[in-house]
Amino acid sequence: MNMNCEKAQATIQERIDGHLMDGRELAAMERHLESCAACRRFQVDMVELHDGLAALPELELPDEALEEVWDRTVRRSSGTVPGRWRWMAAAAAVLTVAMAGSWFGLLDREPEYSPDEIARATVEARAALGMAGQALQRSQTVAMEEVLGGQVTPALEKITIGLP
Amino acid sequence: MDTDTYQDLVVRHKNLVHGYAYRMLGNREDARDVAQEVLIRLWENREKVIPDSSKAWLLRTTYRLCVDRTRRKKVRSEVFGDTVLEPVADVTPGPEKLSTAGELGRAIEAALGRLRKEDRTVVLLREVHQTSYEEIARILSQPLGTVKARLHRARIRLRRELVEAGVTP
Repeated sequence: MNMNCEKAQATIQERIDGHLMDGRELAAMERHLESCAACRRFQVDMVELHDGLAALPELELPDEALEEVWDRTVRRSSGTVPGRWRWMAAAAAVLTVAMAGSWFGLLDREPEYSPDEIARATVEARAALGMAGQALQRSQTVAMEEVLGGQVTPALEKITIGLP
Repeated sequence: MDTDTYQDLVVRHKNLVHGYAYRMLGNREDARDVAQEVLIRLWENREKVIPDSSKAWLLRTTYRLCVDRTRRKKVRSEVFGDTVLEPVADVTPGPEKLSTAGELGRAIEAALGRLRKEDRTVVLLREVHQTSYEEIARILSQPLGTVKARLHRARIRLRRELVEAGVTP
């Protein structure tokens, strides 16, 4: 089997791309390369070009462009926030739960409150804890707003105001 | 796919989409617009796109949007007399990236920019983004044989561009 330069150069490229080749075809290419300096040069150049192209740097999408994508997708759709914001929302919810928990501690230590006041405070605290629990589950921007100043904090303030 | 999967895919592939668009269009603003549009379309099609084949979907969508944008610019240039963008004369990646690219990388970027769009896209898909022949055929909606022949010709042209520029790969 004889091979001309055109066929040899196509075969060289197939081999660079990692395609399995027929043994006879490979042998014919090797024979051609032994006698053809131009195709030997072509092979060296193609390998270097292949390596050079594979080593081209990534072109990073700017952060502000990515933020716009989040704004127009996950944030717009369901209030979900990626990465660190999710953790901030969860942390805020945990903080709220801890604050409510400290109220129960106070209640344990202050037995002079009337049964009605304690019952009212318990209801309010449960409501606040419920909201905080939901906020933690959703891990969303909306949830974070609720925790940090929308609904949960006023509910806790109501407990404070309601108690002597 | 759910929201977490979408976010993971965006983080993993955003630079691939942006880089492909930039090297196809040769313009930062257009590349950024196309990349954003592609990632938003992934969100809109999240119920249909299978995460395992999302890379191919993203490249296919990027290719189509780049073609649309080039076509619109061409029409606009014919109507308003703007400069035609094709072939892209210079897709040099900018100083912050050049420092890591090296001289050969810089020369390759410039030579890529001088290739015809059809040649550039097969080289980018195969060599830069390691896409298989079969996947390239699907992305470009072309027969496998056509893709192979085009890729081989494109590499030879790219090599010629480099030799003419005085750079031996």
